[in-house]
Amino acid sequence: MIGVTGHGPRGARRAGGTPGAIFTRFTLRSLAANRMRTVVTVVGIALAAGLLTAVLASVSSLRQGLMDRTRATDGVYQLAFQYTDAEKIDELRAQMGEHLDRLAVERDLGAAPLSAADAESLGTFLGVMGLPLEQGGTAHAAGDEAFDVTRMPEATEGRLPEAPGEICLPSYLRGQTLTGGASSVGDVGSCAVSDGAIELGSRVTLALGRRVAAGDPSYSFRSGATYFEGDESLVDVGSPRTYSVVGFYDPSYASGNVALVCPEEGAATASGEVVSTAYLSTTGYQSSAQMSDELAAIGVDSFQSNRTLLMYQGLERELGVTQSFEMIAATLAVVIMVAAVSLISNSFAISISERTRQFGLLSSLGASRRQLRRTVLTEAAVLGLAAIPVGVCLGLAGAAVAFALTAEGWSAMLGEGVSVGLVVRPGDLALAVALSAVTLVVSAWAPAARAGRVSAVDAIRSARDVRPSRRLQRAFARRRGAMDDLSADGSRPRGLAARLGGMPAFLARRTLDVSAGKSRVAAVSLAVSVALLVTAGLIGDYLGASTSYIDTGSADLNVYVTPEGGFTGTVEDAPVARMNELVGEISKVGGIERASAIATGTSGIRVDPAYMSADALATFSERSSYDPYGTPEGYAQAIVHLVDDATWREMASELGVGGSEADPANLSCVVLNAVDVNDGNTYGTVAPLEPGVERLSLLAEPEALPDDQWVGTTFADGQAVYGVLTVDDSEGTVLVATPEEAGLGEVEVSVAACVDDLGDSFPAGASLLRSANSVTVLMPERAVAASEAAGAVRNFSVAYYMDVAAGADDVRALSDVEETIAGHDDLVVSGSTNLAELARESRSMEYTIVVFLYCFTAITMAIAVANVFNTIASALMLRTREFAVLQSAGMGRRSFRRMIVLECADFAAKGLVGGVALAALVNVALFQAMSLSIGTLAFDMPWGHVALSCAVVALVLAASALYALRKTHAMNLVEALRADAL
Amino acid sequence: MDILQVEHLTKTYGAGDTAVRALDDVSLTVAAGEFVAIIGSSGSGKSTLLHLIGGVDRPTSGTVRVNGEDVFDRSDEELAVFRRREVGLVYQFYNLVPVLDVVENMCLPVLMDGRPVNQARLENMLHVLGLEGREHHLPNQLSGGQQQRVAIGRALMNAPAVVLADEPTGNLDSKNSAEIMHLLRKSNRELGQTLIVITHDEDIALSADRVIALEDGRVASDTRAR
Repeated sequence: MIGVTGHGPRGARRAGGTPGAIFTRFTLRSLAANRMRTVVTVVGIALAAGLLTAVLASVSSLRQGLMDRTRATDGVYQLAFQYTDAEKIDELRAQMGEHLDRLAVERDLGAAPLSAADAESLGTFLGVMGLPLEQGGTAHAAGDEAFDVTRMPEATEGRLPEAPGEICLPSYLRGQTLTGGASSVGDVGSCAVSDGAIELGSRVTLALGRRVAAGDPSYSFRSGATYFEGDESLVDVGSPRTYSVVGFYDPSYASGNVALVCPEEGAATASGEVVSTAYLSTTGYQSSAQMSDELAAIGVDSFQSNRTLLMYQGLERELGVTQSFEMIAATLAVVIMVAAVSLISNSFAISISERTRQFGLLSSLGASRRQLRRTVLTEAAVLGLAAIPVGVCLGLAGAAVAFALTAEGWSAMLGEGVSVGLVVRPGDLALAVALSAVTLVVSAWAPAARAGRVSAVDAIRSARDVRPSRRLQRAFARRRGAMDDLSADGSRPRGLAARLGGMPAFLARRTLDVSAGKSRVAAVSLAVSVALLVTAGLIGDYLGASTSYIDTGSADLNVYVTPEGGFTGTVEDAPVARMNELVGEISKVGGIERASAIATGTSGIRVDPAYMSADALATFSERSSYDPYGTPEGYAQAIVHLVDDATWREMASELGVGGSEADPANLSCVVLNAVDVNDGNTYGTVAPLEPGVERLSLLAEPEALPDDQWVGTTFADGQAVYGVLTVDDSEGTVLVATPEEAGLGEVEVSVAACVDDLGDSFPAGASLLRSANSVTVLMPERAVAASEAAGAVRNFSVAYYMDVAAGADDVRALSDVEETIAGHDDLVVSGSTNLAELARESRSMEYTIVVFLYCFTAITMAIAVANVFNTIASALMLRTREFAVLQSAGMGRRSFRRMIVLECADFAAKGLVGGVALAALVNVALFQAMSLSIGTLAFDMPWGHVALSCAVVALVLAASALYALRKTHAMNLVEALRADAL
Repeated sequence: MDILQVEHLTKTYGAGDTAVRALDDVSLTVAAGEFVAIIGSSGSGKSTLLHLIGGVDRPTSGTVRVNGEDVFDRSDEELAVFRRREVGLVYQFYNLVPVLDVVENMCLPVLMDGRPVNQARLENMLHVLGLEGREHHLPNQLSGGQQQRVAIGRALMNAPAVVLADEPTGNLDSKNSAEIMHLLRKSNRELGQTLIVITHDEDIALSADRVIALEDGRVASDTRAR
């Protein structure tokens, strides 16, 4: 007896293993038996895992990039606090212990007052700070060594101080003289003095004291602060010391008037007291609050934090950028998971429907619901084990490729020479795997539950579960006699489909009617794919539209030139008068292909009132945030650009207009008839003049206007007026005299062209030339200078534009041009821009965004396409027996193919219509959003992308149908007709 | 007159070591209007023979002539026309098109041929088959017996010369079996259709004009009723 009871189960185990093992074997065989769907499911899971990995890794990489930028600009310090007692640092080290990573100290040595005369232009005090010095830390944090603890200054000339007695001044003090004399601070006599205009090697004598509140000497001010409260005083003033100027630094380093000395420079106040700032970075703390608690423990209650860095490090949660990163990542993850769940669950659902009889049989043989359910979940686990690691690797590879392709764009966006490379964090990988697993479990759960519910009866009843649509049910209910199913002559079934396409169309229509749910899944998958593709194109287009407003013109470089000693405001100023000569010189600089000059001044104009644009007058009404651009009487304020001979000739030739550049007797101009307006929210363009305008008059201002008067436009009593204006204390801007009363002289100019664009060859971008609320007029400098108009155009700024020859180094060319101009004693380069570099950066940024957008879309599309393929191919293959019956009942191959093609065409039509409608909705929403910032944007449907989507849909459906047809063609009709085959 | 001539019919499934010879050089003739029962154990080649006669499958070698014309001289498209005009097939598992209702399933071969349905014949068949009132039901709304009647209706609707039935009652109870066989027999007698039925049912075999027994893909015996 013992032998019998003991041997039964053990014997069974030896023969067949545990009950789970047989189900696992069943699962593996099922997967092997349907290779195609297994592959599609594996691809779906791998894509989802890959996409999730790529998104998480991209976000981490971007965050790292931003963090590096912050480290490069601000340093790696997290907190900074001020102290006077050197023992504070020892206390800090004791308190934080191993948590203290890096520490730098910056010493504020005190402030010297400037003389009252110097204070007018330079500020009241010159503070003296020691350069920050790292105190030696533990440097745990990886990568930190590449960055300084806090910002370090950059010498623009000379060097930073290295030994006591050396000093580095802000670059704006170069050439200035610090004069002695009475200081502007109360009774303090000693002042900052230099031995003449400050240059490298100059000597500066300073007596440093401490800035404190007059009523409360314990309350001190930062030595370099430019503000002067009046009720502060300077105390603890030490004896004067003389420093040698060894360099000038970029003043963006420190706010206020700050001179820099070496870290070892001795204290200079009478008491020898120094206020130091400790900059520290830490490791191991979970939040910035923990750090501030540590500081509080050593009596430091007031400190400043590097919040941006703390935020990127996840130690401070309240700031927006990380949250928006997390939100973007979360949104993308949800989109991916939804798309993946739809694909994977669909795949499982089809697999379960196909094996209903198998599950029924297992159930009839005694498999419990749990065992059946577990079979499907095991299937999911096996697929996940195979697909998720592959997906994670693919995702990382994809993200690495995307970052490699877009490295330039990221550098342009983040600046500071920061590069963004792929950052792989174990946490991200773990999260991607976890999310993929969740996606898989969610996808498999419902089909698994369905498998569990399959009963033995289902195995025996082999009839397909067919649910006619409500429409079809109603149609059946209406039919009475046998012939009601047929057309009047009885030669075909009833209905439009049969009438138009015969039996194949009728059968296709009926199939779609009775399997609405399945065809809906396919149609929705297709629609989502189409909408995704069109939307990706749309976003690309809108990005293009928004960046086209960043107009750098056709030129590669520009240089602003001022006369030595400043502009007098007339055409005689050297940069204007020597325009043609300079253009010739610059053209000869190596790498420069072409040069142009544009001198921009202002003038009043008058046109026939009939040519004042009503639209523009209405736009610049009193309700707008601008002054009026002109008056209904025909007066307007104009920006006049005077150009060199060659530029005028080229522009005239491009616009197809006449007008000599050198004939002062026949002045002509080109009106750039477009004004960019922005009401605070929306950008737009309006035409200030009616296009047919043929003449205008430049208005010459009276020779001498009082200092408080000028000529221009304003609103008076709600009306736009032009004339001599002044500011009245009670009424604001008021009209003093009309043009007639003021006797403004007029110079007639013929309008050679009135255009809204200057053509591609014009060196400056049209949007750069358009003024915010004035008519823009272009004229040849040579003719204007020699005519009466010379007195009408005033207040110039002059820019030279250059094209760089293909392959030439634009950076070098720009510096050579600057050198050429600086070679003239009467000219000073006041600014320059490498427009080619800007355009490159702008293009890189656009390209970067588009690459990421398309990568995301392509992969989501791939999921959607796999879904459609799976749905359609499986739906067709599930009907193998039905097809066999149709063929055995006499349906020919051609009719059969037509039936399948028509079914697919129906999916395509629904998918396309739904997708285009969905995309149109997205387009409307995007258009609305973009219209908020670009007023003149025109609504347009991207038909190119729609056509591309149609092509993709057609391709996917054709592939699905071809696959299914090939499979059904290869089927054995006899086998398919045998219903007992499991 | 022989309506069906089968000569040296051989069908082999698979190739090489796994090749299975389902039919091995079978030759037989069937006269018009004859009711032939084919019997044999499972795997003896009964269904294969029936499918080859019906033009559902092609033989490895040999010929099948219906009305003197070689069935397999036809292209795939012509073979489809042959199936819908010349033969009516009835299966054990009904094999109805699940998305079509009773009338549509019955009229399928006629409609696929593009010919008008004979209303009188359709109504008569619905009456004879006891399907009145079920005209617009889908197969999954019918019992097994009703589904098999629809399948018979589909096979007979085109008035084919030969009706081929593969265990038409194998899935039915005795009452339904008797009714189905009665219908097939009636059609055979009244319309002079040739009826070839595969069966394991001795009663059916005994009621046939002739019983052909297959064994290992060969004709083991061919007995005519006295």
